[in-house]
Amino acid sequence: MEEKKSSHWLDALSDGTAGLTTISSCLTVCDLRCDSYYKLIAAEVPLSLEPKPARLRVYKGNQVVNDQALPGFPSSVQSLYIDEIEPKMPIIAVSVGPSILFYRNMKPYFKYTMPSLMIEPLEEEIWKKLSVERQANYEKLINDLKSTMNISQMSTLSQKLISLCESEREDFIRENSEPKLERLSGIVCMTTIFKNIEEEKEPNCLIIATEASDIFIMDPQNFSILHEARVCSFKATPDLISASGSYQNDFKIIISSREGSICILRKGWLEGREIVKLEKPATSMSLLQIDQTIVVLSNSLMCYSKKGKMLWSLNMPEAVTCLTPVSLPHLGVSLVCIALSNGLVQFYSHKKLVDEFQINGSVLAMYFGKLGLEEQVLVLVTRNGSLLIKILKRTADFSKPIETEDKHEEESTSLSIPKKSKIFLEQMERERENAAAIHNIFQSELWRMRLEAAKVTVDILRTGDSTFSGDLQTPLKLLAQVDGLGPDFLLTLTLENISATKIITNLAIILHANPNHYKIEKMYAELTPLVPGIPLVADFTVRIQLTSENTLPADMTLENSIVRVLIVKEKLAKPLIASTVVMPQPELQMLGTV
Amino acid sequence: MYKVRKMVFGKMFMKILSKDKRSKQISILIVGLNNSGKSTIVNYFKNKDDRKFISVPTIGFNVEHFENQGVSFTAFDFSGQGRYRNLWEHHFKSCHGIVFVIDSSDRMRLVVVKDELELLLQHPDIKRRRVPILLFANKMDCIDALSSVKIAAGLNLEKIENKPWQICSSNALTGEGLYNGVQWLTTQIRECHQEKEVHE
Repeated sequence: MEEKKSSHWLDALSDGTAGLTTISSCLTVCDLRCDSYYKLIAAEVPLSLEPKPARLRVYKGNQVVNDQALPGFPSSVQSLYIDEIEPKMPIIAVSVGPSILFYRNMKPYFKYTMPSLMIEPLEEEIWKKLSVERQANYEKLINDLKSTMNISQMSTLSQKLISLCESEREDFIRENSEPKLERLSGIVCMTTIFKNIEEEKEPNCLIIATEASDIFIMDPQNFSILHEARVCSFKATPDLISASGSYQNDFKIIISSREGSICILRKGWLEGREIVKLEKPATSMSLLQIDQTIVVLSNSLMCYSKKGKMLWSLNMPEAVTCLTPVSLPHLGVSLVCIALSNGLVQFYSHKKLVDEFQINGSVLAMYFGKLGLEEQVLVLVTRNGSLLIKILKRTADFSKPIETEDKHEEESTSLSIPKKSKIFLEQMERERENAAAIHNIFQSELWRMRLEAAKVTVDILRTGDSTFSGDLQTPLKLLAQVDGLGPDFLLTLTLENISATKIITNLAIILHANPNHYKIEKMYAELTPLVPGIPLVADFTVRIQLTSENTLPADMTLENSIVRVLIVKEKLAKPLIASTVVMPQPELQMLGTV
Repeated sequence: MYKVRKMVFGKMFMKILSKDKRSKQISILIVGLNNSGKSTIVNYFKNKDDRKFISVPTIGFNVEHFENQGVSFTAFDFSGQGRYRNLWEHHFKSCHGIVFVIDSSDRMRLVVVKDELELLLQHPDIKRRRVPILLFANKMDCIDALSSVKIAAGLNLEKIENKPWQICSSNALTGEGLYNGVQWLTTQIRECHQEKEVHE
């Protein structure tokens, strides 16, 4: 495979022997000692089958500065601030099974266990009977338990009981002769929102999602539950969670479930609302803080609005493993970083691929944010346990998308349609009501116009009266202008060759008027060859034939005071242009002076 | 011909030069990543009475004055925070020397140091000029500090061609290594200055 390297990232660290296996939800970064040096906190999640205790580790660079065992399998690690006392020290919350372990200064601080769910009365009854019954009847009671209840609804004690073989049951029942039945729901995922002020290092609230589809909002200052809600009205087991906002003002929690639905939970709601139903459950999901859209990684990268409208989607060339938002406020962009199973890490700005690089091995966990003293650091943990740290260059610019040969884009169907105005709606209403009338009026007007056009055409054809030459061989345009007050007029004719290339030769102008009315000095003029584009201007003097008393000729009226202009070509019988110039009436005051 | 002139007018020339320096100050830039100890180094060169005991992250830049070997310096102590690093280049044109401070205990960010140094060396106002560069491998007292040799190798300093450079291990809190470095810088600036004067 060709090695793809990005010019935007500096390889700060690449430790192939870190031996860290973790998932994105168990990776966090915080200013642990309040010395502005951000450290990486990761819960080691044993992925191999062999039982290996989970551990909580703190990294400074690639060095482990703190390492402690966890009592069980961690599902999520969060860092949060609980109070406003200076120096502001974050506490680490690790969810293990139904409990959350809080660490302060990396020392155990508090353990919170989720409240027990309701126990079925039948189950309690059976346990009461079990403690008094003889061994022979155990089988029947246990079968009762199995047949009447779903395993997931049973308490942990009952679950354990039915999994035991017959010989072990008696001891187990005797040990638990006074059973304390508890049904604890495991914590699936956690996230944080701000309590009041949405600023860094301000107190947070912890959001907890459990296997039983409950969402709890906890105030970690006194470990009390502030709000409790259901994920959805139907069965939706939370899997991924992302939230933004503050508890006091407004917040939204986006939950992706194993059943493939994506639900939104807002402030004050007791039940989430499903906004999207995916074909496959999401691999990774995040609510982007800047534009508040939800990016979901399934087999493709999809972006949804908070109302569940798909904004865009991109098909991925390979199977995807995880996603992390990369917010770069100094560049004014918010990217989404996606890791593919072949080790390719891609950065998208909306649906444009802006950067990518190749690493060795498939990425399991990613984090982007502050680390050490740098503000923009990408932490990658691969399946084979290597830890990579990449620092964004100060000069990095993601404005140009990478040219990719094959486009994985799915054409979006959204067109930019302007909003419907009130006028438009009213017009639409009118059109709907009077459709037939509007159609008839339109048709009759159309025919009227066609008739008018035809009439004019016939007229022109009949008289040859036009300022344009219709002949394709000699396309000409004639413009006439009459200057003067009379009785002397200057007739200026502008003749233009409107063909693209052809030169027109052997042209002549003939002026014709009633000799009793007008005297034209030059009635015939031969023209120089006409070059396309350069108009030829010819002036003619036209004089009114005045009577001896300096009056206009007797039979001269407004209608017949015309001069005909003919453009002729040698050896052509028909004139190219035959036009009529209407001569203006002379100013009567001028007549006497001549 | 220059040589003869230099020999004959040597003494007079030096006088003029030193006089010149008193009127025209030598400006040096103190750059480096945030938290590398730039302000602490500058603080050390100040008079004992003016020294500060607590240093806070610099915003923008501070201008400080100090004297060494009769040369008075104007030091531009820049902020090393990412968002202020683009201020550095505005002063490249007028500077006579550059002090680059490196936190030798911060191994993770050595790549960032390298990137910033390359950007500085490739800048048009620096690239063609013979500007002496002094690098302080600061925080030498830290346990996990890298040696100046390792840092020089890590930063590919031997590739710097047209500029005199020197790397000194230092501890800005005790002042160890600082005077040696500044002495070298003073000598270099003086040489550069003389050459320039002679050519003129």
